[in-house]
Amino acid sequence: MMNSTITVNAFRFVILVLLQGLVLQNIGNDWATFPYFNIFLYPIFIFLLPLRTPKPLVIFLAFILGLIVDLFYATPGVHTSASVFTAFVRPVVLNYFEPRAGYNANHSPTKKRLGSNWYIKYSLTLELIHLFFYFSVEAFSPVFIVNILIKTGVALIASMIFIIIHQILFDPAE
Amino acid sequence: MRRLIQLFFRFGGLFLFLLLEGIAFFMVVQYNKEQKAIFFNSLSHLSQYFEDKSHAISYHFSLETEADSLRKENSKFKQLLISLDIDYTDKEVSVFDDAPFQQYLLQSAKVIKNSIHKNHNYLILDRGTEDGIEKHSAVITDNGIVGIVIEVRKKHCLVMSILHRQTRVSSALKNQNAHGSLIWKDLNPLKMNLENIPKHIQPIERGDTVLTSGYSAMFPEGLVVGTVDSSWIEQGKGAHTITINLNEDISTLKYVYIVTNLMRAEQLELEQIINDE
Repeated sequence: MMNSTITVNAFRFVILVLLQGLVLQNIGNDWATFPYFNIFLYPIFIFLLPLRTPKPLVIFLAFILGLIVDLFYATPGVHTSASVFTAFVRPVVLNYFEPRAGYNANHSPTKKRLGSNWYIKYSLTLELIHLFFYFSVEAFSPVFIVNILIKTGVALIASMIFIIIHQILFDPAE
Repeated sequence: MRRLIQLFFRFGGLFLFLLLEGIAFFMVVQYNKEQKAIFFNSLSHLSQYFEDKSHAISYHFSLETEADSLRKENSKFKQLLISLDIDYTDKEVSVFDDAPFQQYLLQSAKVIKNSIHKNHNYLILDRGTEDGIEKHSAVITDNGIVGIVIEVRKKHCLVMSILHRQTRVSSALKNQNAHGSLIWKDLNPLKMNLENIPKHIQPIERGDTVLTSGYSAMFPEGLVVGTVDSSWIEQGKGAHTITINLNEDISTLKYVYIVTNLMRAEQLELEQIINDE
């Protein structure tokens, strides 16, 4: 049980990093007519970590994740800071969306465990936070707030499609 | 040690978050061209802002000394003005005397104590023998006269206010050039009386300026004291009774000038001859 959880998450980590760095990064990359198009799927690694994972470990794993994605994007620190922040607010969001019956600490926050409605609310909130933080750090000045908001909105819609497809396709328990 | 570990488990998330976020931001501004430019540009703006602020604050605290030095400078100018007036009227003196003729010395002083509601009012100023203040020096302001120094100590001096029952200041009406003496008898800190202006001096109108005459060897000549409020002639008297409004509100005094008459000894010597005869 314990081992399978670790294996699943390690496997997910590698696949997501490669998918993000090699495939998703290039989608819409040369799309001159619509420069705001971005798909960020890798944060779901942070979303789907088991509920019992200690907070510091979530933050540390997010740091490593962001660091490697940054290597692909050649933007040291930008994805890292967003991932660390997302990991930091994950417990807050989990708390906010806690079902009346509470969580089962041995589960992971997935569609299968907590329902598609819950999962969409949960992932939408965290993805929004992640994207807004990411584009803020990318622009690095409140002067570009309109640009940041447009980019966040577009990327949120595009990314959510992939996040939902992922859950429908694999419907993971872990 | 155990408590430290407990503390880490409780706040470890926050500590680690701050640490890793700090590292991430360091990388952002260190290795990304655009963010680096924006960061260091903002930083210089920020430091400029703080520099300006600290400048403004230190400026504020230096205002006190600034005001002090300005008052000193002011007293110098006023001194010059009074001296110039005298030089101007006595042109012949300056022809023979190359050295600038200086009769009065002005020093600014702060009012430490002040009273206005008694029969005999006094002020205490923050200047004394150490500053070269002498007994019987006049105390004035930009707008009028204040009193006479009657006692001097090391760092302070006692001033007899013009709001004093025994005050006699030789004054004149500017328009008529008639001399009289200024007394205080109404116990009103804004009003004084001018006496001994002969009956034949006419007309005396409301608003006429009253100046010091310089006869008293204490106040320099030509300082504005106030304006005439009302005047009448009492039955059986040979002089006008004049009420004047003081120009300076003595109750609100903060800074004054102490005037030392450098020629006072000479003038008194001559007056002594008159008394002896």
